[in-house]
Amino acid sequence: MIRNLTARLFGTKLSNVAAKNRLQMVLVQDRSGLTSIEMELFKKDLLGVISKYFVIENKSLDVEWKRTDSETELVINTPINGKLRAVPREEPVTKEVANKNPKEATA
Amino acid sequence: MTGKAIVITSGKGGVGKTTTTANLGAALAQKGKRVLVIDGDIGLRNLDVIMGLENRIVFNVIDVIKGICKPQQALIKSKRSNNLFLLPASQTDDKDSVTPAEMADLVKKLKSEFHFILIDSPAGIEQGFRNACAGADLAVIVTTPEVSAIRDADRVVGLLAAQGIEPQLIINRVDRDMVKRGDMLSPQDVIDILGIEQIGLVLRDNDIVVSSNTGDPVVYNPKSKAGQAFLEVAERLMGAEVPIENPDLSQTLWAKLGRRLRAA
Repeated sequence: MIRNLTARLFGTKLSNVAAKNRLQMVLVQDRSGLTSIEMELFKKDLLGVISKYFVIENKSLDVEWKRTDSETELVINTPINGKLRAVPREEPVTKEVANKNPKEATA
Repeated sequence: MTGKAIVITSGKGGVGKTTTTANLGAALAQKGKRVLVIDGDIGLRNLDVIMGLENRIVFNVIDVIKGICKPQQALIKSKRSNNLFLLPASQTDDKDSVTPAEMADLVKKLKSEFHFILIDSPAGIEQGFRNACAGADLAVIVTTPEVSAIRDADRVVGLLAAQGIEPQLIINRVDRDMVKRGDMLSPQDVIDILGIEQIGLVLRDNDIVVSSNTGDPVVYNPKSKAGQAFLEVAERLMGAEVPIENPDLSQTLWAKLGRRLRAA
């Protein structure tokens, strides 16, 4: 009882929180089938794609494999600064713009 | 009648599958249902001893599947109920001596004679598990609030989903005080992690040990908390809405203060 109280006063972490965090990490690996190294590579690639279009504050991603009623969802969470960078335009984009222009002219 | 076949499984061993099977069977029979429990753990049978029927076995599930005897010859009636029957596993064969198709066929045939067929799955996710699941319409996963049991349960959820079965969860051996102190994952934590529906909460109860000593399921002990919990699960399986009282982190002033001090 007293040991418990002192543990509380001196800031020992709750072990149930540790259990939940550890489980969530392990289950991401189990559900995705990726090893922790592959997961890091996956995150690195994702960050590359996202930062090509958006400004990301701290370059960190939260990846989760969430189970819903019927399927498993891949949930990617990252804070985005909101700023859209100038996207490097490639062929398909310019074509679409070119197609749109005549329509707008007739309307 | 066309009964429901329910597999009781877990992935990890030692979390209470066999105890759950015996008690749910006894509870459903007590509520007037005609119930068959099948021991799916071929080579390591135990459902017979948990039910106190080990001295009455003549034939087993393998004998039935191989056509050595008729199903009726292998069924053992419970000491306690005229509605409850056990189909024991073979102790001398191994798990590969049956195929999932043979098991599914047997369960399908027997469903016409029972309201419920409960299949006690062996631990693991190999052939024995596949056999146990083969004829099942529903699944109940038993877990304890421990990381290893939950991790294995999650694997089983995935495998059952691939088979089109959405399992329901019994969280076993929960210690109310430890949950309140934050020393044990709360039932809500477990549900959040696994993402499946809960059908039962069974508190840690010394009566379980005593009941396995004597071979008399705890549902017959009206003083046992675990026994009452299994009776409630049986009611839910029969379609009744019985609320589950999950313990959570303590909300008393002192507990809150303690947590705040720790967080600081």
